[in-house]
Amino acid sequence: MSLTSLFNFSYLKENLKRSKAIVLLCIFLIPIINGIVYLMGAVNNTSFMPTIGDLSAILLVSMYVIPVILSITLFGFVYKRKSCDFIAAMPISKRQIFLTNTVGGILVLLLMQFFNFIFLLIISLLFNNIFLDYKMLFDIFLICSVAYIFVFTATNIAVSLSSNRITTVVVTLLVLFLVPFIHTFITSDSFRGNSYDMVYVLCEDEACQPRNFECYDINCEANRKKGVYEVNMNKLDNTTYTLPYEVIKSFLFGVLSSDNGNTSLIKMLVLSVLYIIIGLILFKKKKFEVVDTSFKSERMHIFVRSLTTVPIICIYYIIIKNMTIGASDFLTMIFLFILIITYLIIYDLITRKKITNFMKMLASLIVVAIVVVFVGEASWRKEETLNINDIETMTFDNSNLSSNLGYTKDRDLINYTMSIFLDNMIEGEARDNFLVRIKLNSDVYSFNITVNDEQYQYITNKLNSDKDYLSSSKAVKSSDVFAISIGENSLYVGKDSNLYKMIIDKYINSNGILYKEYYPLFDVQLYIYDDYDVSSINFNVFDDKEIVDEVIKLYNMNTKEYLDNVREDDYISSYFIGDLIEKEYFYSSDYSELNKFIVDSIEEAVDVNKDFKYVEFCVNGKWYTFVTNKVLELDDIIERIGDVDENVYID
Amino acid sequence: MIRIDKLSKKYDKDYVLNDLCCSIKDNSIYGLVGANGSGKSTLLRIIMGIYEADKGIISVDDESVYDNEVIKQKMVFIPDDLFFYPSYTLLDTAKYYESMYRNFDMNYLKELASTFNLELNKKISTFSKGMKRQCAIICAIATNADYMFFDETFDGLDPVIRNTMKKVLIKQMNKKNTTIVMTSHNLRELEDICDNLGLLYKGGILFESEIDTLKTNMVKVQISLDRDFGEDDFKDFDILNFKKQGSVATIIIKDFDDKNRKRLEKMNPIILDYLTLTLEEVFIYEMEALGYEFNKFI
Repeated sequence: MSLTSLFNFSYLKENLKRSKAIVLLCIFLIPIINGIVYLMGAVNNTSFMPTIGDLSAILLVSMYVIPVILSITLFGFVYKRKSCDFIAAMPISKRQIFLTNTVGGILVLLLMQFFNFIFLLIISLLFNNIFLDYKMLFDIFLICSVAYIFVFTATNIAVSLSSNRITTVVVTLLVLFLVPFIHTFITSDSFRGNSYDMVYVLCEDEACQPRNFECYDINCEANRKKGVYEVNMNKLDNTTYTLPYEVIKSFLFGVLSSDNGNTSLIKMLVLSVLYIIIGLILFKKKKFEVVDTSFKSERMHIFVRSLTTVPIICIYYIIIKNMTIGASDFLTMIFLFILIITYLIIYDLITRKKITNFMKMLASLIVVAIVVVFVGEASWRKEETLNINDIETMTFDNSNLSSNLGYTKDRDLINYTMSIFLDNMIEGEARDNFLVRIKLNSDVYSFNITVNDEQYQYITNKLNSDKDYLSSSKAVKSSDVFAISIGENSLYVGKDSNLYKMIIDKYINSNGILYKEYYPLFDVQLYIYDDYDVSSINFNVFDDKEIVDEVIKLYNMNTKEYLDNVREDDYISSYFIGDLIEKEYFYSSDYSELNKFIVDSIEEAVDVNKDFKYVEFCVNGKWYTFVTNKVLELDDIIERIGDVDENVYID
Repeated sequence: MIRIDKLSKKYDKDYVLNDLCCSIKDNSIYGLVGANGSGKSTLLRIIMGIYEADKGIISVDDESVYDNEVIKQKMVFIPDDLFFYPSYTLLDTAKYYESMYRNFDMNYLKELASTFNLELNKKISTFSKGMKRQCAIICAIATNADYMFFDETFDGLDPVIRNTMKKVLIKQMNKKNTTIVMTSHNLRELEDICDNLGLLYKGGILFESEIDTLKTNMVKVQISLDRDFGEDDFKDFDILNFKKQGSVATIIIKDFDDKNRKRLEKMNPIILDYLTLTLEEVFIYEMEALGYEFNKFI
């Protein structure tokens, strides 16, 4: 089989030439819009660390449009008899037409993603206030390319099946979403209206028993006696969906997923290949005499129309299931029935230009309803009891942890954490929150716990000495860190600076056991891009005097740079005065003396072994920090010119 | 050579073509006539491999056409409803054909465009209906395909252009040994160009013949005798039609030869005229002889 028997390059060239408007729109418009959005983010922020969502939002939206339009354009001839005659009479086989258009479309989509990649790269290189891992740009190129190709190949199947544009769009939506939607309907309780899943947890050990737990009914007491507690926790959807469905599911249905970007990528790739094969087979069987209508046979039309009603009936099922039967609910049901009949009539008119027999319409609706109710009832999840002893791993997510990537298998820590989770109330003052994920029986659940200081110390100490946790978080290498910032206001550290190297060395030598005390000025964030997400490792460098010295130098140097280039129209909005532990909002009717003090002292060296204080001020949204050893002098000025208000805090 | 054997095609439940058998010999112009909806366009589309037959065999040079890009290099089709890409000029369209057909002759196309006063660089969408058809036909001719199929060939062409186009087609056939199949619902359009004619009716070729044979072996005679006479007096002739008005009879005689002529002269007629039949008249009488009413077909 020669290459020319599969592709016809003349046809490809001519087809792209005649579709040049759409092709150019695909290749340039979306990357340009996406680039403009990125540019605005870079211009409007003093320092900008985009997430993958920031850089691909436009691409994700157009993922549902561009490949569909491209496919319909390239295969546009199938919708009109005239063009069908013209192309089909040419010396080109159906296989060549399909494969040439598929390859051509994929090339256009790849070109589009390539231009997007280039635009983003240029903008990233032009602006030094943008902090990102360039791997993210490649990931966007990769995942968007695959997702676009996936939608494109799905549309090609629809083109092979249907004979007008509307039906093509409908069939594309069915190919892309019907199966995963039904899966979500069957498996997800949160889709069915429960934002949290009600779960019974069995605690057989003393260690996991709650310490502050009170029952309010007899069932609870009876369960408690057996060590069973009723809790709410999110069950994460462990199924890997394709990106187009994943986005819809998260935004429209609010169903959360565990992270599985790479699996989704592979799934889309495999499905794309499969869709190309299926599309080719269907296109070879396509009857060119059927144009301008949905399908050749009315049966096929009714079948596809029935499939389109499946999601609607599923949603109806959920609405009706959650109803308390009353007069208003009965009216709602009638309204829903009228709505779906109206939809079916409109669907018929648009796709077939005539309405099919009403009894057939009703019969298909009844069949779908019966199937949905049957599947819905069969899959309605019963109350389940999770045994704490079955928990395989536990992951803690908290920005103050050295790593949120690691997991623990420590039974003591698992029991301790579950005990906190089962508590009705917290003991003492809340210190922090953890988002906890547990894995058991191949399911992943997540929940939040609020901890006091003692509990916080226990958990972090346990984690910092946990082999599993440390080994699983060791995966982060110095080369994985793409940016470092210091302080609460995220002052970015230059990549080629000595401080950057020192912080990295400290992190590497810490072997995951990081300094946890909270000193706002010396809090360090290491930014890592991994698994399509930006995460940060936070720790404190106050225990390392050399680094502290460098950090203070950076603060003062940054402030001096501003003072050297101060402008008349600069607007200073807030002042804070702080020491090692805390900072306070400072208000004065006249800051001139303080400003003079800062300007006069900014070049003076700071000895980290002596007492120091700092002043933070915000100019046009950007924060500057001035650190000084002249504590007494500063205190004196503060006392004279203003009033420290402990109740005001501006982040 | 195009061979069609027991070809059937149905839309929904209705047969458009039913057990159709036909063969079209090379280097000839074959005219296909039939009423609207008789299946002419469907037949051409099936021959071209645009549609797939439900039953039967179609072969061009002993090869199946359907989805066969190799044999389709030898075939070109201009449908009744023409299609051009909206922004394309004649030159763009010609380039499209050139990219698809290996033997496309761009110089010949330019020569033909000049013959028909068609501007190469003007958008086809601005052309009149007749000019669009000229564009399509000259593009097809320039492909130098061995088999050319034209549906409602001369639809929209004025008489002058129509004659010129016929000459071009005949020249092409003679120069390149091309086989041309053309359809029309108007028999007069085809009679002066076709070598063979087939009449399509109810999904089959009802009647098929070489035009020369049709025209030469049938004669229309106007005769009056010195006595009273009727159809029985001509029972030795193969009469297709006999009409008598007053003392003058108009007779359509098939397989008319010199022997028949002498026999008529021997009857001492007062009036004896031999009139030339138009192709349409030939068809009418042939059909009537077969028991059909010709007006139903065309």
